[in-house]
Amino acid sequence: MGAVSALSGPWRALRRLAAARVATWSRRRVGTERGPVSINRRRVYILPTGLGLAYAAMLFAMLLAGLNYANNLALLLTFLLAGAGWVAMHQCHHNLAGLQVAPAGVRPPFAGEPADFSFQLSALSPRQDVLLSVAGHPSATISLEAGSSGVATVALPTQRRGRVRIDRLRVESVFPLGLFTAWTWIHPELECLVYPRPAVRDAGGPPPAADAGAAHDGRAPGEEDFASLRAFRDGDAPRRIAWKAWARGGELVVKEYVGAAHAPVVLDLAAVQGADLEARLARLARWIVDAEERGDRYGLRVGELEVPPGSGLSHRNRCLAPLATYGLPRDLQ
Amino acid sequence: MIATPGLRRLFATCGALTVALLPHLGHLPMWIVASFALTVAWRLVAEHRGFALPSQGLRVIAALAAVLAVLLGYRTLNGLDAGTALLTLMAALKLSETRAPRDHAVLIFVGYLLCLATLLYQESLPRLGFVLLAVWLLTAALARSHRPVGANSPLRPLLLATRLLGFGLPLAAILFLFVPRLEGRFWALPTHAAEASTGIGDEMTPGDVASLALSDEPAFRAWFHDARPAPEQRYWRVQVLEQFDGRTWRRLATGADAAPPPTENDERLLGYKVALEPTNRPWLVGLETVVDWPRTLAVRSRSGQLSYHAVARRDAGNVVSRFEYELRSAPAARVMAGALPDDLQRRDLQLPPGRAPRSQKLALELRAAAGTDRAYIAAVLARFHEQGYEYTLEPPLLGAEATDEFLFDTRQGFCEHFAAAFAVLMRAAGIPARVVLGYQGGDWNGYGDYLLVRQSSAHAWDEVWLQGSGWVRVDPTAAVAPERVRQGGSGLLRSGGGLQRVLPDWPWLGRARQLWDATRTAWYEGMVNFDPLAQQRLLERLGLGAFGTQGLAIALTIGFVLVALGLSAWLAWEFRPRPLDPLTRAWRAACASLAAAGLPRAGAEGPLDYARRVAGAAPALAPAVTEFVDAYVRARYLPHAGPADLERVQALLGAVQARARALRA
Repeated sequence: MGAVSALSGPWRALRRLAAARVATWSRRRVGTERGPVSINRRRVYILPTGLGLAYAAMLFAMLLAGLNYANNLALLLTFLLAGAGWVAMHQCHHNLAGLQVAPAGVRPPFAGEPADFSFQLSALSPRQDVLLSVAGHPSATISLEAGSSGVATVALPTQRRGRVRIDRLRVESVFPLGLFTAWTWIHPELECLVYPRPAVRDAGGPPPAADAGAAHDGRAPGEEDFASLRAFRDGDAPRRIAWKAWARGGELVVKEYVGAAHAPVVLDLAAVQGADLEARLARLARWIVDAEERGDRYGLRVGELEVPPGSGLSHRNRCLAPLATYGLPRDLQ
Repeated sequence: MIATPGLRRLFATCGALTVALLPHLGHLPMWIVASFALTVAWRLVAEHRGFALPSQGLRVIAALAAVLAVLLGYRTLNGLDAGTALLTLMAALKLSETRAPRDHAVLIFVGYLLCLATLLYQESLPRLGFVLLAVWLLTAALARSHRPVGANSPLRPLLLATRLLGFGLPLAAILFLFVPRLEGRFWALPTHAAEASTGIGDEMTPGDVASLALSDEPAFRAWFHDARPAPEQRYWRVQVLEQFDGRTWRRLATGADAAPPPTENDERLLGYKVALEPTNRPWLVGLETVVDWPRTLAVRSRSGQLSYHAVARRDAGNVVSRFEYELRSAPAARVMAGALPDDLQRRDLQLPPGRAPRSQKLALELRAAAGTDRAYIAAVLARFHEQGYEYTLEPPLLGAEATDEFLFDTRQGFCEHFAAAFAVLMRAAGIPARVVLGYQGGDWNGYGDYLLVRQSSAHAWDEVWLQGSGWVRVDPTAAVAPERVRQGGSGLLRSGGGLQRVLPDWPWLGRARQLWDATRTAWYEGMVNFDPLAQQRLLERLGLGAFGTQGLAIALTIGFVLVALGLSAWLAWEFRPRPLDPLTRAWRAACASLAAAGLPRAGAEGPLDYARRVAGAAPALAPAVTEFVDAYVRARYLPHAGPADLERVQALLGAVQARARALRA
């Protein structure tokens, strides 16, 4: 064991070095690709897996036994398995060649939640068990029928607010026998904001009273005047959805009100008490999230930057975005 | 029972492994088979019920116990038997911790190795068929094991394995034909010492065997180049017994001679090839009298006995696998007709003093009455024929004076009794005599044009040396049971014992047996015996014979290229673009014609944006394109779009293409 661990240090360092060199080389070779990428055969790399090496060792032992016993049937068996392995290698390579990969959006998370990068895979012939991964974080495997497409999502874990970037996406497959792994690298240069994690609900009380009072001037939500129903659109507050109508088997519709003109709140970072910037941003994030859930109209002021009042999911994200990068060093912004 | 994907995967692996193990049931000890079966059953139940698998400590102890048990049972971990036992136990142990795809793969590799062991035990056609079935199931299980649990339908991995093995077959054939075979071995074969010898032995004690079990197994096959020997000439010599101690006849241990025995009258030669089944003994078989043989064989010329002389192959002595050789024999040859050397004369007249007194007395009386040696021989044979001697495969046991008891009391026996008694009577009367063991007869197989001789044709006869004639064959059994000699082994079987006693004598059954044996023999000739020589012959037929080993390399390369081309063609077909749905086809056609007119669609542009841009850039196209795109979007995205919408898109496509062409012109 001692010898192994003594060796594994330099070995690992060597592997890291080699991996870094290969990464640079592949990046230089194909460059940055922001749009859909069609994987051509020249950029599909293939190597045996550990299992494949074990298979080769087994075949070699079988070959020796067959030659030694001068047993033609043992040799035939060996060659048959070698042939199957060889066909598997070609099939593995073809399984990736001609595949199209396109970025299909990303959902910005709060710090601590994973950032979900989606990619759309499509091909004109059937594909099996394709896996995407970024820095060792894999997606679920995906198989495609001929001429169809599917979406695979890579979840990158986040720790703090700021941005996560995807420098290099690995598309790989070990289909059909797991003896070979074929892969390619795509450099999509995608990035995604990570919002500050909202503080716990009672940590520091409600937003500033002056504005909050205006927002809730004695009018409970039930007293708003119901106007009409309209079809659900992405970004509508969940509490406005007519769940009863949906439960009766209808479509997802949203209640619209008139006269629900709340006095808008402007949430100001400067108004948040406390010494620690991260804690203040967390509380601000909490207020934004709560205001959105209540269906309030709210705006944001962070230093110079000001977001005029509004509501809806896209408005919420517009308000959270400045918090993600505020006060971070330039290279992290 | 609800079969979860995990259970199905485990079931596939266990099933394939069990099939791979089936051919080994015959020679594996009961406890190993039982532990494997129990582990499989337990593991399946554990998967179904969600039991915990054994801890690592328990598994290590079990592994050590397994190794120890095999070591105690076989006294070795080496060799085919112990190796198979160990593989089986290791599979059972691995099964008890199988969770990840990697564990499945290890099990499947063990299954492949079990298949290899099956073929190392026996190279028969049915076995290969069975092994192919096992390999197919194992490969399917391998394909199933590493795929995501939900991705497999029950049949899909089997289909995949069929394709992989099917398309691997041409490559396997190329490798099989052109990978050079070795002369000799890397290491000695350890297994055969323990195996029982079959066929003719090198001593004979009539009276020790109460019942002769006749085996229907083939002993050897012979292909005659021109003429075939007549049925009464089919005496196949294996062993010559010259030393007699009163009860047992033994072979004399002398070395091989370089020169053939002095023969006369050997003009009519029969050339033939013998393919001897393994006997695990050094003796070969040849038609009487062998006069010409390859240098790799040794012949003791004084007795005309062949032995397996290890020149070409390094495993000294015994015939451990099917062995082929070419011989030439002269059935009418006279051996040592001129004179018998003194030492031979002494040896072949030797009788232990004081043994078989009644027989010796009888011999002297009969010889005196007969006058000549030939008349004496006739008198002895006549005595066998006339005085109540009976040919039986279940003779009574004999005591110390076996010869006397047989000749005067029991008078029942098979060929060994008669041959031994005859030789004693000859020697007692001063005629040099010896016992020959071998085979007599054989069935002609018309499908394969060869003579098949079974173990049940084993026979014993005598040779006496007569002045002027040399060694003369005398078969005393023929005097008692002439049909035994005329019909050979199968005639004996029909009247005696064996399988055919219970089966009716249908002609088609005999023909089916012959056809099967011919198939099996062709299999051995073509596949099992494909050796460096056959490889060289193949190269010569391909016109590469002059290159030798280089020719193999050239053929291998050419074959590889051909197979690679075939494989590429298949994969191109396999991964060909499939026909698109008609709506997409129409959309792409429209985009292509607009692109040809100088307005290609941008990568991220949707249909509506594209239509707006085209309409702006080329007003002539605007009405057609707008209408087309509108119809397309309706057909594509409207929830209840039907065939009518598709037809409308297709109808509008023509207008777009015509306008685009006009614009380009």
